[in-house]
Amino acid sequence: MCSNKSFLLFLLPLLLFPGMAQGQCFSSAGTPVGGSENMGVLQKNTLTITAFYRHHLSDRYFEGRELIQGGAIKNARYNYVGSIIAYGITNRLTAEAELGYFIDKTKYYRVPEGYTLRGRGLNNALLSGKYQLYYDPVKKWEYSLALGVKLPFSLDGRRIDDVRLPYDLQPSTSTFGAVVQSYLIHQKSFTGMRYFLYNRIEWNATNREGYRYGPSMTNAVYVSRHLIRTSSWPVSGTLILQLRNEIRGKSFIHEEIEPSSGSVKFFLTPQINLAFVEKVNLSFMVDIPVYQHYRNIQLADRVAFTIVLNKPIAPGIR
Amino acid sequence: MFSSHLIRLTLLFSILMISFSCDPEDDPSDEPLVYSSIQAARDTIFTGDTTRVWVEATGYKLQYFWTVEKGDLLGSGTEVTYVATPCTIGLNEIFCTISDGNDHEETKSVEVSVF
Repeated sequence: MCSNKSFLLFLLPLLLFPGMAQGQCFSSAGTPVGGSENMGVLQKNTLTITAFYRHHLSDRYFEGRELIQGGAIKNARYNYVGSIIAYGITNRLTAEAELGYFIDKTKYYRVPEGYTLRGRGLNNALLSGKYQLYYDPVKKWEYSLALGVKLPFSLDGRRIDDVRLPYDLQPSTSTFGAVVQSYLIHQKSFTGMRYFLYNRIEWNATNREGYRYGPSMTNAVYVSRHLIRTSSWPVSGTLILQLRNEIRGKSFIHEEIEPSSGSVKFFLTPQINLAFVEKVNLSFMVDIPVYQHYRNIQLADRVAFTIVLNKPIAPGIR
Repeated sequence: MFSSHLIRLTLLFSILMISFSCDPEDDPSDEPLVYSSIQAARDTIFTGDTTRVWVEATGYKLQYFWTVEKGDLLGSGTEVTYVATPCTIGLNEIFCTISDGNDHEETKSVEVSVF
């Protein structure tokens, strides 16, 4: 087991923000979480490139935990592509760059019928450094912490035909932010089981228009098990089950609380990962909401799926 | 003889065209920006409802920039539709900034209450 010291280090990011019980999400199609959260630090001089595609759909309104009828918006969806480039500077320090682009972020209206409003564009970039704080090679425990900055590609909100898009259709926050991520990994070599705890906290500054997207916290527990482990077969498989909690804090407009912002959600995410001759990993996962609680009335999540392609590039691996 | 008449006529026509085109009073770029009004068809609506919002203005090469802090705006140009999404309960101010081809601009707003 890990020591008390490392256990406290793991808890620290969670303990710092106990008041963040409500979240940012006003009728929002949301913003995807990066696709490489199940990776620890990389070995020195190892480069990995991860690309992912995510489709997300919201088509119902919740008030608190209750499903309610009506609403002007029939559904909202987004299609997002992202990439994460990670490089092992040392065996304990990994640098990461996360980039993403909303192919579309669209609302379909019930009233007025037939109307759509569509945003697209670059999300904030995330540059971070991930450091392995604890590693026990015998008992297979690892704990890493990553600190990052969110960088906007533009400080101005996006407009379509000279009409500014609503905040929930903007592709980025149009301002700077900070991200802290922590990773606790435990492996059992004999059984092929892997346990993983991931935490991510994000803060956003106030943008030029006076809007501040609320902070968010993601906590995810993963359990994975290898399915196929033969040296003659070129493909190995891993089945992963993820339970994820997303908490979004209130957003502010000119320092006034955005009324319909803030949420607590739990998702069950089954995931299958296929490794092709240890060179390319392909993952497919589906987010199924199992609990959703929204502050006031908000457009709630229905389903999302993500496809992740990951390629490690290291000396000796082509 | 005929060709000299033709040249004279062409010159006269050209001078007339130039003098008309140079008349400063008819230059459209001198048309001032006059932003008369911004109006909403209904100033009180319920969430999930919509209202038309439009502006009246004259000027040279006008452009219309619409913004609202809460709620959605559909359409563009002189008229948009304001959609009262769930986050809009309360007083909402819809802004329209009109700019002209001479870099003049003016902003007006209209308030819509959402229950």
